[in-house]
Amino acid sequence: MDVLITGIIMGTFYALLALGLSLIFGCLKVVNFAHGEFFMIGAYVYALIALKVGMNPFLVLIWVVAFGLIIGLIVERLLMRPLYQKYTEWGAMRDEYAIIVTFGLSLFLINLANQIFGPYPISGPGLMPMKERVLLGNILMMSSHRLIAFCVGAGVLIVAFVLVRYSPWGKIIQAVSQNRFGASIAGINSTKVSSIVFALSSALAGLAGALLCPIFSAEPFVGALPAVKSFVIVVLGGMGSVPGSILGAYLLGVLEQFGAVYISYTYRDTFGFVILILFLVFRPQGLFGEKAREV
Amino acid sequence: MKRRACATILLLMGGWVFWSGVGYAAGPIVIGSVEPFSPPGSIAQGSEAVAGIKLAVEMINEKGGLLGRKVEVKFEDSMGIPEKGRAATEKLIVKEKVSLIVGGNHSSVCMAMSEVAHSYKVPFVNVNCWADAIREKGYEEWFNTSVNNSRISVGGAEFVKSLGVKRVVALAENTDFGIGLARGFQKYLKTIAPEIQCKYTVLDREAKDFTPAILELKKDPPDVVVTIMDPPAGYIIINQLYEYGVAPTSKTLLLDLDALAELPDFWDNIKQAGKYLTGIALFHPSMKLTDLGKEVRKRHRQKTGREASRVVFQGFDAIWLAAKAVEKAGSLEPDAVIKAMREIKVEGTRGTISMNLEKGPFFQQWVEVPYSIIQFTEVQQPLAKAPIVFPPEQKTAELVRP
Repeated sequence: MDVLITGIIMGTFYALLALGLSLIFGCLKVVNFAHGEFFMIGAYVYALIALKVGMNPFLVLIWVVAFGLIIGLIVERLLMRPLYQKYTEWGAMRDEYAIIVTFGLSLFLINLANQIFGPYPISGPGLMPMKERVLLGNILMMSSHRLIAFCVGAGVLIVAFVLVRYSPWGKIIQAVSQNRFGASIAGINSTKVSSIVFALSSALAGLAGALLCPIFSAEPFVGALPAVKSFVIVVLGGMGSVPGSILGAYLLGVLEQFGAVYISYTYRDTFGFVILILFLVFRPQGLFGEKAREV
Repeated sequence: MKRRACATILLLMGGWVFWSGVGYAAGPIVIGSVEPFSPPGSIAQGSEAVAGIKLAVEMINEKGGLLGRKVEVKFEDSMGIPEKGRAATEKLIVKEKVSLIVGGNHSSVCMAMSEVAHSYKVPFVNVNCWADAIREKGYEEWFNTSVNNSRISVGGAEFVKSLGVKRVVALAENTDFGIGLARGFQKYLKTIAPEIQCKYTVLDREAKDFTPAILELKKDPPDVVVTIMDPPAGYIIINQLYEYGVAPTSKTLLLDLDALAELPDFWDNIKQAGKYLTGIALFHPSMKLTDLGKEVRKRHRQKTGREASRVVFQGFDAIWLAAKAVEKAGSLEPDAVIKAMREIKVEGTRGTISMNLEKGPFFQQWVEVPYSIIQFTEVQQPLAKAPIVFPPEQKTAELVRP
């Protein structure tokens, strides 16, 4: 039971990160290799504001989300938009440009953080003091921070899911994801939608970084491994599928924990890739993806 | 008019040449250094080593340099990755034409660099690679002022034996250093206290969540959990052991064998989990320093406002030994420098450094690197105020449990 609980908790943080990646892919058809670095920026912003300004950690989360939105808007405007604004159809866009740009951005942000914040990891304060621990049903003891961070993360996930799925804005995002050209004909400003989606996913990644900062510590490379996991999740769930990426995140979180405890810790990160390979062989479209062919 | 202008220019150029080379007979002696300055390497330890190396160069140059020549250091980044370290070492030797090299962090990187130093026959003084396997190669170009795993294993095992416990679990990072130290610790503990059960688990040093490994321990907590991991993973696992209530507790003691307690960012990352933590310390402010060590400590504090860590002293000692060997050899010729380094006795920062020449894990190693086991009894406690709990001759307080 304790393994299941910790798996679900980790799955929630993975889902926050993967949801943004999935939205970007769905809407912009771009694989964002710098997604982990938005996670890293969120962790740094949280740690620095909470430690230097001494602000209440819950209020700092709001600042992290705001900062994430702004960074996302700037990056989309300066780096992403030139890639697609000339094209009405995604098929005409050169995918490799987006890969090079986001990969370059990732390296740039890692090295920038290294220059600005220095080599030492920084751990932010918990949403509750880290010394306070809770015993869940006499099964599992954990810090109250981890439990509250899980609740915040799960709450944000539910809100994001409902908004994307059922709100008018969400339906616009879905329309652009399905057919950018068609959405434009229907009067939707697809450029604006892309901008908002990029900002939203950057904010979600930043929030995940902030929530995990007291556990993982902010350091230049902190986003690398979570980003790799979110790529696995997006493929598992189906490229661009919001429910798929959430389900994929929980699947990976639980599977990793069970595999590590009952098979071997050494191969913990391998389990996700084994599942990924199985999916690519037997169900390449993922859990919720659709079979498609481009001509 | 033209002639006067030419004469003035020549005079100015002559003056510049004279003043820039004042006091030095020829061009500078260039020493190479390879340290991690980028992830996934331990940038913190790399920066500390560089601080020590720069202090040594400053002090050498203040006394007129080496063989009448100014000393300069060319730094290269290993990133904590063996192939990068190997390439950086080769670049220093082939392109920069360095006479000798000091440096090294992460044993897997040193394993790779030692091959290059050996094949080019360039003397290399190891600053902070602990794996015995590097020494066991028996390369005559490779010298170690850094502590080695065997020395740490002995220190850790003797301490655990003194506790009279029954079961110990070590959590080691998946590197030559981590696995080597865990094996050495287990082996030595078995020799001196066969009644103590000891096993180790290997963890990925790039991982962020160690929950599954900790849940395993939670089922049946051992008497001592030993961590052997570099930061940031070393910090993360200590926090998570505390978070899940595994260690330190009244039953389970937490022992860090990576000397993390001496790093300047320790309390920024550990917080509550550090209270009651015990750890090996290769430098403690109450430890006896030589006059040279006191000077290094003073200068480092003036420059940074912080207490020097053991890696600062290790960086200093490595280049200091190399410089004294060059002086004794009277040349930069590799065979002469290697011979001098094998024979020399040098006053370092924490004692007299000399090289053991017996083959094995202590080959060309400074054997008597001082150590102690400290315990933090308060959160944010400065290292200077943390009591020493082992060995008995240095002990300043009894071990405390939560």
